Amino acid sequence: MHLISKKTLLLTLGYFALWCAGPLLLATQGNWWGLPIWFWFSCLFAPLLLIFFLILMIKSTYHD
Amino acid sequence: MTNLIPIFIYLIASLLITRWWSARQSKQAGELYQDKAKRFFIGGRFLNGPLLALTLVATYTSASSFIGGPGAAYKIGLGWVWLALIQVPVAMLTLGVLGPKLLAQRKAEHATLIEWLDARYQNSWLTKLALVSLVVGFIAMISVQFIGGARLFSGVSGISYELGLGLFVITVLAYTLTGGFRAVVITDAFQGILMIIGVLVIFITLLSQGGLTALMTEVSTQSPTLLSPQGNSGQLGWPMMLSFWMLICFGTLGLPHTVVRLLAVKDTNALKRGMIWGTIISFIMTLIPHLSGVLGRALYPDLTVPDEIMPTLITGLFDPFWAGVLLAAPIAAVMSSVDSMLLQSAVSLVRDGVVRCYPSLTANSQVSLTRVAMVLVTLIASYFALDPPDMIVWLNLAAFGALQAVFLWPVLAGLYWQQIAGNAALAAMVSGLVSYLMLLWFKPAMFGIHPIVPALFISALGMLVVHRIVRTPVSQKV
Repeated sequence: MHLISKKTLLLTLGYFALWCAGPLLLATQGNWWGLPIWFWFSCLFAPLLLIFFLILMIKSTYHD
Repeated sequence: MTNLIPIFIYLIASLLITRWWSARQSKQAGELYQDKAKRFFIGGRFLNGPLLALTLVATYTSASSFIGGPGAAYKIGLGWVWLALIQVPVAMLTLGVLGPKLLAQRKAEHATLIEWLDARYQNSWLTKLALVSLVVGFIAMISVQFIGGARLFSGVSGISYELGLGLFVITVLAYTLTGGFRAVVITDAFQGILMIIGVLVIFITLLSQGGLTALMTEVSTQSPTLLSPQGNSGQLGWPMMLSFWMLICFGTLGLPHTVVRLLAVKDTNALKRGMIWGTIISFIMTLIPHLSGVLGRALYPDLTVPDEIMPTLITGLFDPFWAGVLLAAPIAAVMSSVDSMLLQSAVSLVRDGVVRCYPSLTANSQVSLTRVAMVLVTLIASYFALDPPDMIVWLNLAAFGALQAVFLWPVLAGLYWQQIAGNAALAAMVSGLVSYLMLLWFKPAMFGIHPIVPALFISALGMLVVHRIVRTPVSQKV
């Protein structure tokens, strides 16, 4: 299996864990700007972190 | 009706621009330029990173993302937005897992997914089943897109649903009949850019109606459970949410209209840039329309058809002219999906059906026949769109699941498991499709798990069992 394929699967699993973590761990943490904290974590922080790590991964393998 | 004037001006302008752009690129194309049929069907390896990302996400972002998804978010609340965000890694996953393997096989120059499956497995029954499943699945999905397009036209302009459907179908035909794969991809890219601008304008204008906190307070006052991850009436349990990871994330590795784009990728670096851009665009195009659906509830709490929230927001927040202009964004989302599916189903019917029976068919005849097939598929899909359900999201997901049940394991095993033969892949297709349809039809109690999960499990099991049975006598003989 290509290295990039393995890293892609790992990133997706990491995103899955963060996506689940919001409602599991932060469901009772109240709201910020009208939106629940779990929503900020799972629906904004998790995708942005995924994009950040994806850029890092691609930068390290560019022109391979 | 006057609301439709700006949208028709946009549609004609975008048709002319994209056809000019496509013709210009065609003249600069490489070795495939001389082969008219292949040029029409796959367009050569011309997809760079941003173009790949835009066409992939625009194809994936459809009526469900712009009409059905926000409609479900309007009804169910933030839980549905959370569920929709499962699809953020889709572009990254498709390009990262399938891309490197398909890129390594670029010399074979396959024009369709079925052509690749046929070359890989050399099993005529598998090819026939793949062709029938692809065409039937796409007709269902095209029908859903037609419903979404007709609802947009009628919602914004006040014309009847039937007239809206007629206008939308004519527009789709004008786009698909005048160009092949390259033109469709360039249209997708153009419309993808427009979609992003459109959703941002709608969202910012929506936020200007009192701000995020005030809008969400109003939503919460209507029902505090709209802010719950489990949905307004607890309909989003963990088994359902987890099975959606299969349906709208991992399972998309088997969707024919996304896989076919990988046959036209330029090189590895285009693939990598496509992964980044695809994920960013996917995030924006998923979060913003769905969150707009929830926030829209603060302004329009009494809609009887939830799917009408996006057209209602557009007509309610903007004057008629700008509403017409902004209607271009969701129309672009629907168009970019329907043109890809229409082209793929017609190309597969001709290339993998007719040409197999009449191999001497000239390139010109193949292209002409493909256009006839497009009209035929459009007519059938329009017939099914005449009597639409209230929420199209479930219909779309049912067809989505059927395509995955057929294609996921044969595509993955075809790329990553050299020992898997045609009969094992055929077993995966048959067992996956039959079990999915039966579970969908009879609806047995499955504790909230979507039928795609057991269907894909049965499909994998079918493949492994047949692989084991067929492999044993061969190894005994050796």
